[in-house]
Amino acid sequence: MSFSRRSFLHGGVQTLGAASLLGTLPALAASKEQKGKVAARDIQVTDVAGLALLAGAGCNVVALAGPDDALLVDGGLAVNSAALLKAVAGATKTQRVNTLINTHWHPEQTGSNEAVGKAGGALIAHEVSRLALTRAEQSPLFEGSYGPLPDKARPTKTTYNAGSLQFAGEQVDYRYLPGAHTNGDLYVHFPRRNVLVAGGPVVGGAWPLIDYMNGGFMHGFLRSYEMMGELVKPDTVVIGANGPTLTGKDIVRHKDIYWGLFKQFFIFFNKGYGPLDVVAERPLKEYEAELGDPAKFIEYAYHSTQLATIPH
Amino acid sequence: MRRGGIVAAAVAAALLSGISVLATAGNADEPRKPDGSTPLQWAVFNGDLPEAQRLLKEGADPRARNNYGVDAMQLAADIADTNLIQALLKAGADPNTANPDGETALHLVARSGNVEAAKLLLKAGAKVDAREQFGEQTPLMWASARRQPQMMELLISRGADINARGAVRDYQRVATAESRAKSMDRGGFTPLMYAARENCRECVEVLLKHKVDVNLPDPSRVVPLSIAMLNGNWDIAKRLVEAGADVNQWDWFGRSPLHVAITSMGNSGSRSPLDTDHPNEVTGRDLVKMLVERGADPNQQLYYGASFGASADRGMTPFLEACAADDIEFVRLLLAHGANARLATSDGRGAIILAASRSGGGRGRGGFGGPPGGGGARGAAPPARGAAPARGAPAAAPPTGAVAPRGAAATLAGAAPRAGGMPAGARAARPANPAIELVNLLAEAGADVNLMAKRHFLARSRGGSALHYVVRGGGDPQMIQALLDLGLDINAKDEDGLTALDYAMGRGYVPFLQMPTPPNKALADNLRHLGAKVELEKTPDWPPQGPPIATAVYDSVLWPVEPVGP
Repeated sequence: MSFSRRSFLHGGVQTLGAASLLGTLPALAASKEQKGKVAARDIQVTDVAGLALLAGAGCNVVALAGPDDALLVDGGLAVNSAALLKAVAGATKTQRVNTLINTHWHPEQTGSNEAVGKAGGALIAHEVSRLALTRAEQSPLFEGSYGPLPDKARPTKTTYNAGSLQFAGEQVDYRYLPGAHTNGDLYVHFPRRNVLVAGGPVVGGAWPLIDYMNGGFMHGFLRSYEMMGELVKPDTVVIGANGPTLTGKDIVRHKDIYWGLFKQFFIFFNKGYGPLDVVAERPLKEYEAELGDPAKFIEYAYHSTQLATIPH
Repeated sequence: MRRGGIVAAAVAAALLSGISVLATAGNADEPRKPDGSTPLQWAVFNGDLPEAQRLLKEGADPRARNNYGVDAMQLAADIADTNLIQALLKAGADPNTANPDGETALHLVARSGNVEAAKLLLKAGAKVDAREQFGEQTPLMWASARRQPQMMELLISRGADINARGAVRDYQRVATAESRAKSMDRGGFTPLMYAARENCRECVEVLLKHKVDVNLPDPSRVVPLSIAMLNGNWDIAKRLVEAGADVNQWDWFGRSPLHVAITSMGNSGSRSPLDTDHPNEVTGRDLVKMLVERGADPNQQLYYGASFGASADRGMTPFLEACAADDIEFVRLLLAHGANARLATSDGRGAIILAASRSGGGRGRGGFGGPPGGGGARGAAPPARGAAPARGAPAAAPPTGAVAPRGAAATLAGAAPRAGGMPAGARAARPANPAIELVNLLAEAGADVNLMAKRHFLARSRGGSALHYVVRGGGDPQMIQALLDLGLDINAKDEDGLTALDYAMGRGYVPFLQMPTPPNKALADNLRHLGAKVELEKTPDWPPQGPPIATAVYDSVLWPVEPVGP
């Protein structure tokens, strides 16, 4: 597999730009398996309410330190697994990952599953994510196919709905976000720290993408924002799949933006528009300065709405 | 190649010019007909080898095209005449010329199945993987779609791409002159998909022999295995499974082969005359068993409505499909293979609702307002004399004619029901009614008897408990009793605030331009006798119309997405 458009946009653009200035294009010249590879020193670690937020390994990774080991939310790309786990060890002062929760099954989230699983760590995910990892899957968000992952890399505990665990004396909750980004999304909530790791439906400072080929669809995406909106407080720190952190207030505001777009979708439906027609209408132009080009978000979101509402 | 069109045009042109179609003999240098066709082309079209040879000998140009871009080689290929093709090639015809649609002589011959003709063309340099322009299909695809296994063997032996895919059409706009949006064929089929669709078992064998990718899906990720089953081609489906097809590969709709197998079981397969003496040896039921035994997941949930069946609801699993079909054999089989009886569709229809409502509601939709045939015309059979009252029911004499299931009285006598479960007594008393047996089995497996479904505007259902569905479906008294035996709350209200008794009294939601359902007094009396106490004083003033589409959409009830599961 190769890195996704999202990881490219949010993680690779700066690297690629810098490389271009140097007259080299390592990302393009590298082998397929090596695309997006970073060293441990390139992974940025930030403290978020006592959690370690690690960025640069393919997605935002969150680590909670325990006395002997760590809990991880998402695991970056497989090519960065070693570097990431090294950075996690440094950030948490632990040598082992006790539990890894996958917010969904995309390669940016599950690249450390094998290392953690082989070391005896527990892997938690939605059941749909486990199933997806048992075979080769494709997605509009990455080239080629991904999986199947080895047995040791597959989730060992799954849920259809919600669950909780205690780690280092702290409660950690996770819950299904139905049909939001894929059909196997979980958010992970650290209530004591007022931190929500939202996973795929949220991206800081940019537009998220909906994997319409794998059960993500606009209705579910909106519902996920409603669910998160009901959970968060205005000052809750919200960590998306990529990008800087947001707040609970941002989530509520974004929910309104997406609802506004969704309402427009049905006007576009009545006009017979296709996804690219909607993109051309620029229905989110007032947010482009803040969040960048929404073309792919709109295209995929509209496509998913077509899939969900048009008889096949 | 639109041979019919070309011929028709040629015939029309000939008739217009007052020339008999049959009177085609002429000289090589004779002027062309009004459609631009040459005497050689007419000779070839008529399969007249001596005339064609004579014209070629006189210097007729074998590469000349008529006004439609068709040359003599294509006409010869269309009738797969080996001798004519040989004569034309010998005279300098180009084996790779294509008509304006990009169809080559090899395409046309591949369709016909004339292997010798294809060998001639290939020997003369015909491109084995030429693509026509409309669907970007190769001769191998045409051979497969026309059930020509020997031709496929030849083409593959000459290097044809066994996994080639036709053009994928990414239709942006799905609104048509039909004035409503609809899905359109996206193309992208492979030779294996054509063979699976067309029930060409020999073609499949040729492809398998040459190591075709059995899991290569179509653009919506529908795998060849599902395509075979959707068409009732069970022998091919079995063969694909044996060849290693992924039994869990879901498509864009979340639909797995097991979904397809269960919902397509009734498809008896090809009605082609070619298959009259060659019926399927295995059945859809065999395939379901085979898939399950090979690890198919009975809990895979649909994402979207799919292209088949009426049960295509978000969250539907193969197991729920079996429940909705009241197929107790498969329900048992799937439970033995890990089916989760607590899963439900996204609008909350669980296994018991789907199974129970089959008796009257059909696939668990449950309708709107009240029981069909209100007033007892087609409604529930009246309660039998002497039926035992349910827990808490008044001890008054039951309505005349009440019917109770065998064993119901014994069950009710002392069995304390557990919430969502099955009282011990009920387990001991097996009813004869298979639907009730299924409902009891599901309760034993952990299905929640008190699950309340939500309204679903697309499905035109008002939701509610299994009892709501049963009552709206006619109110089978045995099923009602069975549900109560399992601990169902007879006074539970649905999202409209209505109890099952309200529906029996015809107080349910009245859809736009429909008449209210009249009360079914007998059914209502039976429910009251069984303990129903909660009902509205009068029928609500239902708005003349349902919620405007905008409300339905904005509230997301258009497509419920809530998770319902363990």
